Amino acid sequence: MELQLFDYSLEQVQWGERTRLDGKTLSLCMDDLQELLKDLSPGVHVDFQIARPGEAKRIVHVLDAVMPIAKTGGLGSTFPGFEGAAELVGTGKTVRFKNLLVTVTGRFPHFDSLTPIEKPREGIVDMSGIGAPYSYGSERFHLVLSLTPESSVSNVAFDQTLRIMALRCARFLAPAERSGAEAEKRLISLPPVNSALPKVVLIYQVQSQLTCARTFYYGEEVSKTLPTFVHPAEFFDGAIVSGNYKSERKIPTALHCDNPFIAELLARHGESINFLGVILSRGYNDSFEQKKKMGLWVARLARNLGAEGAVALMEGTGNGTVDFMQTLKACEDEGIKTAAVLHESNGPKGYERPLVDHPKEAAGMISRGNVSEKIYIPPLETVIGGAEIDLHLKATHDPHLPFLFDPTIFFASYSQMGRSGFRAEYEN
Amino acid sequence: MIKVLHYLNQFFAGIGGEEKAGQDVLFLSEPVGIGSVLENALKTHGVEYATIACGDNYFHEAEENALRAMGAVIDQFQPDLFLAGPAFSAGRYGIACAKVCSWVRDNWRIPAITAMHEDNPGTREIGRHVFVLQTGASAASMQETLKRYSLLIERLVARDQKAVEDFRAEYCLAIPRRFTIRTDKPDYVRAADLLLARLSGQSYESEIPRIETQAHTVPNLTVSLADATVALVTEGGLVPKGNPDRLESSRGSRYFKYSVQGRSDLKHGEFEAMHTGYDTATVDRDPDRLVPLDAMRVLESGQRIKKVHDQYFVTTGTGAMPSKMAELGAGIAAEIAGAGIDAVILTAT
Repeated sequence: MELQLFDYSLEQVQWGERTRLDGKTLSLCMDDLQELLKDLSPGVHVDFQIARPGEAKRIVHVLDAVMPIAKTGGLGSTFPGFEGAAELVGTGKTVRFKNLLVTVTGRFPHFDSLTPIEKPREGIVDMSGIGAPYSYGSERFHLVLSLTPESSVSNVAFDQTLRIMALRCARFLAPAERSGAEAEKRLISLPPVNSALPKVVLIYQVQSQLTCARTFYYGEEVSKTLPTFVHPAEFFDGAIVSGNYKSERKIPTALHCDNPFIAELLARHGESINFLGVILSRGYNDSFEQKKKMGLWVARLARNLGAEGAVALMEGTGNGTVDFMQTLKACEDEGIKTAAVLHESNGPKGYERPLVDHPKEAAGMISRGNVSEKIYIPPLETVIGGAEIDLHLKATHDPHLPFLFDPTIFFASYSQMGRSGFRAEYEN
Repeated sequence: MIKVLHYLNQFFAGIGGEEKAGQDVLFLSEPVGIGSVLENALKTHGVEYATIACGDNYFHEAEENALRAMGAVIDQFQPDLFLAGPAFSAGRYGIACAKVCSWVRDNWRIPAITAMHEDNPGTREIGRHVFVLQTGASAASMQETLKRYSLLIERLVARDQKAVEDFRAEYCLAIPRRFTIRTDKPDYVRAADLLLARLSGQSYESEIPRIETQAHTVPNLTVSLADATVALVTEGGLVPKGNPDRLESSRGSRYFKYSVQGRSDLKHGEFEAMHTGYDTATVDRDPDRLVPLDAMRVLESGQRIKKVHDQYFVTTGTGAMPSKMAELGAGIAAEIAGAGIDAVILTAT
């Protein structure tokens, strides 16, 4: 199985008369975008804006960010299972914009009628300043779709609409008409390598619980699946799509299809490791017994694939940590060494225990930093996506004023903190 | 020219003893007491020295108001440096010094220095980057402590980072707390490196320390089960429909008790779960599945237990800090111990 990837890097994104790529400049035509989403927009007003890296801009109420990817050859379409039959992906040709995101913002139309666990959490993206290294996508261009639903739109419909809008834009933009643009070509595959290299899998645990806190695999909620093997190439074609609005801890759709852990293990394949592929599993199972079983199944699958080691990551926090720890324990019990990545909650004053659950078998941990530490967040000149910041249902804040808050206010901050090289360490 | 603002309690500000502990926030545009000693030690730099005085009782009883008043002073005076203490072993003053310094450092990002003995409970309230000079247990170490304040200030004024760090290592309390730092490698690179080190048997560092869970002894039932009054307790966030007391759905800061008197079970539509940590749909459909009153009533009528306590206790155990949960747990336990309850069924989610 191999996928040919054609990556285009952008130096400028601007509004224009036609949607097209000239060299490294992408022009976006507002009429094209409006036409594209027309049938989806009754009852949902869409406002389009552009945000660029380094600008003094703050995007609020971010729900998801999607990378523009589209198939230009081979079977199926990107984001299988959404707007089309779910054909297997990960082969043929895929074109993408490496540093552009289609970013959706908005508030659900009937927010108060959502149960506490369904309520989306605030997620902001600061394009520059102190917040930038905490904000997923701060180093990329954004086409922002700010959505305002009318009250005739149900919460369920809004959830579906915002997802389809973002995915459709992503599929539309990636193959835009182009001239003078050079793609960087890559082959995503796992060719046989020196059998003496250590065999390694990536354990990829996602959050999937209910509407507004779920993840899709080929359009199907992961909560309805057992752990499964996924080829890295399937990720690049958007086989995993996020429907999770637990903002700070979510893995955005763009991060599923452009995941640095997958890229890192692919880069080391044949050099220092024999990368066997990815095991996709579900966190947030409802009972301890289920969590334990999920761990055992993941470990059994890894063992049958021949893994000697596993890099492991998880989406979520608290509850999902228990599933994750059971998985690490089960792997270690099977003799599979693990290196697992997590954020710490050491409290604003730094002396709380770092993790809610930490069995002794989880002996190889990588930290993403203390996510409950207070940081001083200065304002940015322009605010996109809404007039206020929701301080996680406790209060609201004027985004034009400075505030003191923890990194949970930033969109996909748990992943981004890791990517920015943050970790926690003892002070004094 | 440096501007120094020094926070003193009523005693060190010379206002009075315990009888003046209710003193509200007072701004004095001059040094007071030990402040005069420090001003004198710093005078070669040209120093504008002012004082905030606040009674210990006032601070603890009206913390928010006290901080607001101090904030107004800081905005007005615009200090370059903030001092508090020394508190030595004085617990209430130590906690106040720690809280005020942390709050000033976080919000105004100016150096904040306090001083206390290592056993002062204020050491649990120290925020990031706050300097905590080590002192003796009593004011007998005052002279040496004041010298350390001025030595540290000298180094801060000289912007000599290395001298500051050397000073911190030698004279400040080492309070192990974990904060975020930035490394030069992202998590995915460090994770792959760590795995390879483990696979090849090299030495490695697990970046997150494992803290052993405290073991709790389970007490024996002191009466026979048939004579026991049993209370229901949960962290699952179950409240009467409409959430009359505004229990938080995450980061719970309080607990509540609600009557089950005269109820044979908890009915759908009369209770709901306030909790962002688990899927509450099942509980909302049948609240007994979280707080099993229906099953307890069967045991009660079958005389397997004497009685179900008339109220159940509830908080929300998600997103909160363990220390907060320990505090709430202790509060619930104290109430239960005082209410003639013999046993508890604790349902967690």
